[in-house]
Amino acid sequence: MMGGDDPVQQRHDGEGDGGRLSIGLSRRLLADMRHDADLARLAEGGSGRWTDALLAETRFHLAGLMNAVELAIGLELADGPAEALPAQLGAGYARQAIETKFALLSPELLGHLRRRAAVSLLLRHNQVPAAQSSLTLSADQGGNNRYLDALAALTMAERNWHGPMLLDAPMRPDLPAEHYHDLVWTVAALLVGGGERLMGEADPALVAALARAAETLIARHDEGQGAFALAQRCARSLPSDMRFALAPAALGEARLLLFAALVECEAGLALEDILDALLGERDADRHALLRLMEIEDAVAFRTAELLAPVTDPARGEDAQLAEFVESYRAYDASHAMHWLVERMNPRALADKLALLERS
Amino acid sequence: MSAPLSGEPVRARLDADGRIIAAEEPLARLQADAGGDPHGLIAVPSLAALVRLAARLHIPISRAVRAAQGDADISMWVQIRPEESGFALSIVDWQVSTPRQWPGELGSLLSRGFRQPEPGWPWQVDMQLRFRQVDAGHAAINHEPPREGEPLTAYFRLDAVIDEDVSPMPLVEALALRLPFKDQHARLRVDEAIHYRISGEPLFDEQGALMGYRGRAVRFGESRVGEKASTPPPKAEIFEMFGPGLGRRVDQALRQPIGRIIANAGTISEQRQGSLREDYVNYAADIAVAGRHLLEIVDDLADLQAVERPGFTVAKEEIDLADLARRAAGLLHVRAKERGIRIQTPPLGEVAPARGNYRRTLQILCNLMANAVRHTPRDSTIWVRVDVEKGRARAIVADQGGGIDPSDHERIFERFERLGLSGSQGSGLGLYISRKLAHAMGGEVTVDSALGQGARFTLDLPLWRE
Repeated sequence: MMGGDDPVQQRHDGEGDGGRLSIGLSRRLLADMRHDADLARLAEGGSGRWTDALLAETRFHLAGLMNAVELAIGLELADGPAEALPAQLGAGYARQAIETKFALLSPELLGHLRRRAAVSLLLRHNQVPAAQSSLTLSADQGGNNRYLDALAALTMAERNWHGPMLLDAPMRPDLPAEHYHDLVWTVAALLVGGGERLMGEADPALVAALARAAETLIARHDEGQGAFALAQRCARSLPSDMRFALAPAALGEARLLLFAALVECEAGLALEDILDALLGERDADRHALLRLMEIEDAVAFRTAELLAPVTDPARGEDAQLAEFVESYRAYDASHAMHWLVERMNPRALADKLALLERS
Repeated sequence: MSAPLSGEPVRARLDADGRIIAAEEPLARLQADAGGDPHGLIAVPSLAALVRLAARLHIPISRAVRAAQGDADISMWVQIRPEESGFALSIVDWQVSTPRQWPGELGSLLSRGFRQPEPGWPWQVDMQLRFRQVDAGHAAINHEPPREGEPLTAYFRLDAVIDEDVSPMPLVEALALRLPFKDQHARLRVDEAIHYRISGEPLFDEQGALMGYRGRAVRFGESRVGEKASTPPPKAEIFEMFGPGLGRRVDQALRQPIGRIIANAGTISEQRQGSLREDYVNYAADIAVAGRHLLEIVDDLADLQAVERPGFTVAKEEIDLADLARRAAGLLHVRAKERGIRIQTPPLGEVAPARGNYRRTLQILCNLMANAVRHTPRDSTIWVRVDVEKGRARAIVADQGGGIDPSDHERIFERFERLGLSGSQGSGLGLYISRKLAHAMGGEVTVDSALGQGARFTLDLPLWRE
């Protein structure tokens, strides 16, 4: 209502400042560029913030999830006008079609796949037999059945992720709701495209049948059975002191998802943000998370070593690891508190503060 | 705050727009505490976001959310399932923590930095300033706490404080501008000896609309440890402050901010910047009315200062009571017309020469007629007559209102007496000032009335003699 509240006017005013891009715009541009780079890396194996192992794991997850959704859509299409479509296109059509249509993947879905793949990759390389897991042993003494049930469900969900890397096998699509919604419509769109290619023209009946099938899948999805949700329920079932007690064990057994959920419960940050901080480029973010959970130097050393395959293999070298622990020692609780307080600021405030720093 | 029985899910049904059709007690309480309507949209932002997500994607949701309820954090595992005509909402894990457990040194650092105990008791009101949440129990307030749904203004009497550095009515100004406020002075209506200082901040919903206010009420004398204790406003604070600088202080401290309040509220109520919801418009109009009332009080206070000064006198001149009565009626014409009231004035040509002060006599007549307009029924008549008899000139204002019990005839001329009035109706100073002004001119104001028979107020002044 007020002239000064008009965002258009504000934007216009901002551009008067020497033509400098607003921080919001530059952030969007950066995000777009990063997404494009990620897609290129996924499609062509170009260089970037993906290690080879992480890239392969992400493609494995993407293929498995698409296979599963395509299979489910095919079952929904039975007895309808599009019944024959899956057979005509051939099994795994969507997984192969996405190779030339990577732009269909949204940044949010790709980001989630990257996190999921990182968690899965670390588990694959650091498997601890259930009988030897200190996660079970520590909690068992407390008789916390709710936790043990949730941990068992989480373990089974994670085990689904690091099976043999067969690109034509389905993987249970245990995604959070938004990402599952995105994935199902992506697969549906690819199948519509495949149908048009087969018939030479768009068939409204086919499109309608695929849309109905996608809607049915979406309506019966249960994100609460996904590993992300199960990790959160696991952490919620523990008292605070147990969360601190189990955090080193979670890192020691490469249970990144569980560790992130423990931090989420204690610090109030979002699970995916915690994973991004763990898997990102900045050691300071990792220091903060570890310090928040009162992780000892030895476990911090082990964590840096653990994460190297997804952050940068060079970080796993002895000199780098020693440097990591040295800087971790200097990163005390007050540093961690400031880091946390900054992250809990509203995004708009963070943008403005960043703008102040730049001016 | 009410938490569900351990392990028992808390259920609710929502319609297709996300409005609550039915909700079990803990969730209904959370909704009320967040300032939401029992059958309105979910008012807890984190829950509302999940409902919108489920509605947008038509997908079941199952995840953790956090919400604040009073001083506690509520962590919930929420399941939302879209159905044919709405949503089924179920909270399967309801955890209450207060305060949040921060790890190790962080906790102590944070507690040092941010967790000083607040004095007073917390309150929350909705858009209509009705109490929605009160936690006065722990503060040992030694008086009845407000009831849920009770208007804040029915519980507290808000006081204007004259000070050059602060707004006289911070709450009113903040309401008009949707801003936080602090140090609004108030008294309990049930016991006006109990003074409070109220501070608050606005609450907005996800769309940015005002949902209400929340804040703390601190009794005078109560303060944070290490903080200078606040003292109650001095006895009869308004009068104690009267001094040579009052006129300037009134102008600077009251007129300007009240003028701003009226102007802003007027702008909002007239929707000059675009259309608004009807209740917002009415609300702004109420604020403007209250502002004008405050301005009248300012006028009265300035007059009060004058009439209470020892040796107060006014310049006397020849005046015509009949002419002044017609002028006063003209000034009140609009206000009377709004209520369908006719003011019958002395006919043109009739005169009643008196000895008095033109401006002050007009003021008295305006006050008497304004009272009559306020008390007389709609679509009735007020008669204003003048006569000259035995060396005195008189103006009589007669209305058809409910009348005044003879036992109250003297009381109504006392300071701050607002017999039968409430809210923004009068300051209780008008008749007191009118009589003082009449005395200063050698005259008198009297009343002749009985319950159910209307009232006749007479202004009596010495006759003008050359």
